[in-house]
Amino acid sequence: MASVRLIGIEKTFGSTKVLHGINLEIKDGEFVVFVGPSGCGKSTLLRIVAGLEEATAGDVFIGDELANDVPPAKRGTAMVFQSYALYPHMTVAENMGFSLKLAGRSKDEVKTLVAKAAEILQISHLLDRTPRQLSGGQRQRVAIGRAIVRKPKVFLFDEPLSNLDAALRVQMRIELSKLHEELKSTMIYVTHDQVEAMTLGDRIVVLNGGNVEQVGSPLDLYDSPANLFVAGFLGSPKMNFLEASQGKRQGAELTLKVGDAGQVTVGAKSDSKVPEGKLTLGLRPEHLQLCKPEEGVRARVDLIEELGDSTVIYAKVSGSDQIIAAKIQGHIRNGLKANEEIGVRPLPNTSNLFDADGKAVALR
Amino acid sequence: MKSANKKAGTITAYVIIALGALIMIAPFYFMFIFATHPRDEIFNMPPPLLPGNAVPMNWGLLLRRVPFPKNFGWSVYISVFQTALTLLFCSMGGFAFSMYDFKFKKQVFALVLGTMLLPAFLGMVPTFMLMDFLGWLDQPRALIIPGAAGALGIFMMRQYITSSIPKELVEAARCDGCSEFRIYWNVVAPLLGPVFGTLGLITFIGSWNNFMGPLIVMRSVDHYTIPLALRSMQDPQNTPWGAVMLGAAAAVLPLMVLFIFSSRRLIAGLTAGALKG
Repeated sequence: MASVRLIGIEKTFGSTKVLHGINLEIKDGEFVVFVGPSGCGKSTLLRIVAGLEEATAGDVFIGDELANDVPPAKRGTAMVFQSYALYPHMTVAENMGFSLKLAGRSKDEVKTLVAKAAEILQISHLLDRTPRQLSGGQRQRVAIGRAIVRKPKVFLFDEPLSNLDAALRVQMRIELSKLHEELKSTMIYVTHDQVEAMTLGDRIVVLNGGNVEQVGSPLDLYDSPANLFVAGFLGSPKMNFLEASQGKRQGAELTLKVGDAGQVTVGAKSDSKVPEGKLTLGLRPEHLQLCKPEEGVRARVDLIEELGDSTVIYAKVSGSDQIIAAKIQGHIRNGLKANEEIGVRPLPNTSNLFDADGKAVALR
Repeated sequence: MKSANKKAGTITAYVIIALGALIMIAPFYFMFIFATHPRDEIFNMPPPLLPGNAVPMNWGLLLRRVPFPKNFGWSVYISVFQTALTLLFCSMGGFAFSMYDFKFKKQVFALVLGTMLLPAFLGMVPTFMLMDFLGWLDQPRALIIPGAAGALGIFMMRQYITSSIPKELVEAARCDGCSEFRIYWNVVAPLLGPVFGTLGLITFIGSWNNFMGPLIVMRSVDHYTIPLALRSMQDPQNTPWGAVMLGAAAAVLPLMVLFIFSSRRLIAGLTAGALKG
């Protein structure tokens, strides 16, 4: 086990700069998820940690050792690839034991270590098969097993579940969580799937355009996003953004005007500084409740999605083309119909406010 | 009406294909038939169309004129070695061009491909001079080594590796602790079966049938390969055509057997990478 420290990591491909000076510290035994849209540089950053890509500038420390010039196999990292990258001509046991064999371990030792890893992952019965004889989930387990046998200081996962179907992804997600609990190793996990990020990580690093947008625990990021990007990236359906202007402030309450559509009252400490000018109100769909039109933001129902456990109502905000989504628990029994006028308002202390630059305004 | 037209079209197509096949097969057929007849019968009008009984006589004639078993052995030796070396070096070259980024990669690759544009005859005199300088004349290495890394082979290997071997596999091997050569040897090479088969066949056939190469560098009849040995039997007055044909038939037989058993693989290898598998 080891910590990972990234100092001023930059990466340029030709004339394109994909990482702009990343600074990050990952603690020993921590499960950190890099999340961000395609092309944000998350995989490149992981590959730099693995040693598969060389940073244009900056330092990578694994434990206390500067790893910039250390080859991948000697860094004490093990990588699980998106496409599994199993050797097709080798059996499962050979795949898992290949690194040990290369390290000069004895045959018996390799066999024991492979058997132990296979037991953890419940693939002992597959050891004599070749990858082509395995299902996607089994292949993924073998890929993880190949990493486990090396007893790495740091596990690196590059979107390992994205080739699996939805049900299997959920199952493997749970198993990865358990594995982390069991091994207590440092793990860095790259994904573009925010559900994976929220459920797996002790901390999430949100990347965008080669920069770190925010680092924090999943709930910190969810409840208090640092900017519009993080706010919009985490959560499904995504956070509603409404242009607003400051209204009156009364004690711990601040009223915000949402164009001609009405107004919203949000909780705000009396000493919180809300800038003048253009503001963006961020309301999570699941934090909205229906009300009478005059009591919140007026909107006209556009579409209703019944999800079984909840209902998502998409409505057009009055006086604008903007669609607001509200996620209501359970079924809607009162026969809401398209084109009907409704009002929506946030639950207390759930709103986020962003200034003209898109940065969060501290309300609480 | 439509179906009658279609039928006529199909029949015409089959007739054309059959004629084409006949033209292709005829020389082989006559080679095998003439191998069983003495010289004077071959030049009868009409020529013999059925097998004769002069095989022992032709065989005796062949052995009197050239050390045929020795020539056959040289052909096997040179073709096998050249094929093995070609597969090794071309796959290493293809692997490098496919998996590594290095300075002037595009230019070097263009240079390699560019060598395919030069006619082989252009290299005859320089090849002779070089082999003479190295002291390799009349030695099989003069045939094996210069042909061990051809542009076509490197190109085929690069295309196959690029389309069929994921980069992640190489990276996984690197993470597992493989040296670059070990990545090639333990991970990439075992996956090159189809293209090894194809390039192996092409190289073997090319080397087996190579006439110009041995003509330039081989001096003594004991070191001749089959094509050169058969050519050496021809003289202006009295070429024993039956024996030459028998030698040619004996030379072509191994290739035909090889081709019958591997034509499917050859075709599969030639089209590999055309579609994502």
